[in-house]
Amino acid sequence: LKFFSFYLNKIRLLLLLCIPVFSFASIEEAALEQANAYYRQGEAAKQRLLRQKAFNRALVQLKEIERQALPSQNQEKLDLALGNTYFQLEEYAWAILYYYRALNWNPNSQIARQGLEKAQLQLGLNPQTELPFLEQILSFDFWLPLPQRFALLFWSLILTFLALSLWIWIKRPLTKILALLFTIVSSFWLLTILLSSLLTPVEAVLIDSTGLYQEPDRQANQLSTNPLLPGFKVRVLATEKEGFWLKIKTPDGIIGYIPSQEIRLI
Amino acid sequence: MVRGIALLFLLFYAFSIAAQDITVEASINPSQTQNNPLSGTITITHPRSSLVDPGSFKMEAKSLNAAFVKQVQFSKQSSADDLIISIYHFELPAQSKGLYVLPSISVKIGDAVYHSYPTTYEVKEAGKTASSIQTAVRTKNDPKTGTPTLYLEAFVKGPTPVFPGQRMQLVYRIWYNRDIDLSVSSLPFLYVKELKKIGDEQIRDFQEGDFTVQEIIQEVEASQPGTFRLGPSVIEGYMYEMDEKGQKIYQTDPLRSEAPVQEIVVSPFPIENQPASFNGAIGKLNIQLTKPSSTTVLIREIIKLPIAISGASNLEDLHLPDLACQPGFSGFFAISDLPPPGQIEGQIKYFNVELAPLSSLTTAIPSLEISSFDPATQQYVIWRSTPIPLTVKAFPKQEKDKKMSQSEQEIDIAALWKNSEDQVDRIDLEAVYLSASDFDRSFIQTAAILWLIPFGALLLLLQLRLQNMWTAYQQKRKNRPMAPQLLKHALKEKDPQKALKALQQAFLTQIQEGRAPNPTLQQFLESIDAGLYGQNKDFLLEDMKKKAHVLFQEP
Repeated sequence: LKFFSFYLNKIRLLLLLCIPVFSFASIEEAALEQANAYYRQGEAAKQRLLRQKAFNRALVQLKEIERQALPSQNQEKLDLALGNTYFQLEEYAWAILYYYRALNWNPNSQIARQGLEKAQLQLGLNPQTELPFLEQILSFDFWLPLPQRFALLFWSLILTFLALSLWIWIKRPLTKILALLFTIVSSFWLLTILLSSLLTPVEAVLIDSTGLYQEPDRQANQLSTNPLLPGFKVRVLATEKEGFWLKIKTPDGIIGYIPSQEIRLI
Repeated sequence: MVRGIALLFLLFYAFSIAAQDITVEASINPSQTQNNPLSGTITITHPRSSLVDPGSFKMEAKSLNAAFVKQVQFSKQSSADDLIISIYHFELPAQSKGLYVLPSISVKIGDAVYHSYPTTYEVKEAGKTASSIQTAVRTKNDPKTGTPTLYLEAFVKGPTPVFPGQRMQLVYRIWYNRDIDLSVSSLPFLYVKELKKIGDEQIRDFQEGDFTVQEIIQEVEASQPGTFRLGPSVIEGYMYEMDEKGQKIYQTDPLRSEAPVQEIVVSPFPIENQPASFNGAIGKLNIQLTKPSSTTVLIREIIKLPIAISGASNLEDLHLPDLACQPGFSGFFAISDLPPPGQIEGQIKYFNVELAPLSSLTTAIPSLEISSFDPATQQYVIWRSTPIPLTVKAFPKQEKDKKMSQSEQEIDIAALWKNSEDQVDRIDLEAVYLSASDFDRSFIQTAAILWLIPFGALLLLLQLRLQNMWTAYQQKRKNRPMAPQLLKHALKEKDPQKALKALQQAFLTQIQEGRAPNPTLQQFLESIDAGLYGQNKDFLLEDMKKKAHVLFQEP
């Protein structure tokens, strides 16, 4: 009895820890319909003013939905919708930010890629290389998006635990081979996920142009005569001065500081 | 010369007074405000021989306290017949704002009682200069004729329709032909909240035939679109007449007048064809932009553009549109974040716009757009300045930076304006419409599945423990003594041969399981052998069983 009560307590604790993971907030259908309606109005508008008003309203609605959505929910389409709305409002830097976010959800999203290219074209930016080749290979994002890998890991873990259970009770060579095989498969998927997490850098998009400073201070020397342009994607290395400044690395490899208010994390 | 005239005037005044009888004049001092005690002065002109009884002052048959202030004599040489002026001061309780009549005040001078004439006085609202009409109206025509009448007229004087920023006048006219003390005055025009009041109400009185008309005008400005209902407005009061003693004699039935509700509709500015630069200016604007004296400037050198605007009906609220939002300014010029405040002189508002070119590629001050709404035609009127060519010189060290793309140098301001014209093309972008199911995300596609690892490991540990327990149980079961079971089986057996074999096996197993053999046991085993394999089969099985049972229990 002591033995069972010990394990029962552990299981109960695990279930309690799982509760936040399983809780999902529901997004109101009416709010989504309203956002869609405003977007349609904007698309149909023939006058600039009316179009801007409609898209602005759509944007307000979508931002509210974004505020309500939980990290555990799929926000790929929401990010796409926000990217499109910003694009329609000619806020291309913001559009780029949301297209990048959509690509984080699904690296193979064609809508996000097309929107991103168009927005970059509008700002006169060259399409930026996502990651160095080796990191691309190791991050596995282009092979298989992270959600799919999570699903595969889930099923392989289930099979692994079944095979190990079988081997515990029936110690035969076949059960041993099965357990070993599924353990290797599960470990592989877990490794890809861990590698993705470790190798995917923290990236951000500039929403306003800014100079690149040598020190986290506006009076410091600038590292480049040309300012960093809106829509530009950079790597964030560290935060400075209570988060008011960010240490970043440009795709050219220049490391410097920029005010955090000019940038948004992807 | 002046002294001479003044002397003559005093002499003439003294003689004229001397010719008069005893007079009593009472008045409330001017500039009295509500909720403060009222101070008044009684001026008595009398011969020195006729003494004033200070305790005899009465007003409306009630005693009045009056304090002596001073005496003024007309000549230095005093005689009994000389006229002197005695001045007394008195106070009345505080009253609310309005026009009042000071009744006749009586005083005993010598042997006779003299009365002052009733006079009017006004109690003003603290901090206000306009006379109040809300408690009393007093007719100017005298004598009063015709049926006593009190009539309230309320109307709105101004443009129709009204747009935000436009002003109008809310007007009350009170027609009356008698003196009336108002007991009810509900005049919502004066306390309107939905519209922005411009200054205090203006009050004037004028005569219209037999009627005295008091006109009250409150200027207001429409600040937001909407329909506002003001009223009904009501006044009610009692007509009165003064008797010979200066006392009011009121009519028993009140006079009442009610003006209907006035509805003010403030229309919103039409959205259709509204220019991007429109920021609420109303009227047909006349705009004068003065070109800068020099069109060759250095980078960051400030260029001043004086702009004079007239013709706006809301000149005070008129602001320049945000230049940073106009094509060709942002990125080319540094513009102050604060809009130029503007200064009104007469009917013209002057602005001083300051621009500083940021690049030597700036070739012109772009066309500046200012728009207004003309309520007469209900159309927007757009004014655009002509672009002013500009030569911006770079500082010497920046000369080499001039090599920029050709496209930037050829920015067509007209084309930029075209962009902000009404008609726009649809942007070719694949639309994404959201539904609630888009947010669905399978649990197994999230990092939450990592919880499966500790959970599964725990289950495996549990199984391992269970498996160990099972093995131990099996082992224990395997090591349990078999001899008692065999003996039990043997004791139940009926067949003698089988029973003996079973007993033999039970005792041998007992020995195998650790029992030390002793002579008694050996003897018993021999007897079993004899029973099994010997010639003599004559033995009692039941005795053998009893003996075996006893023997088995022995240590």
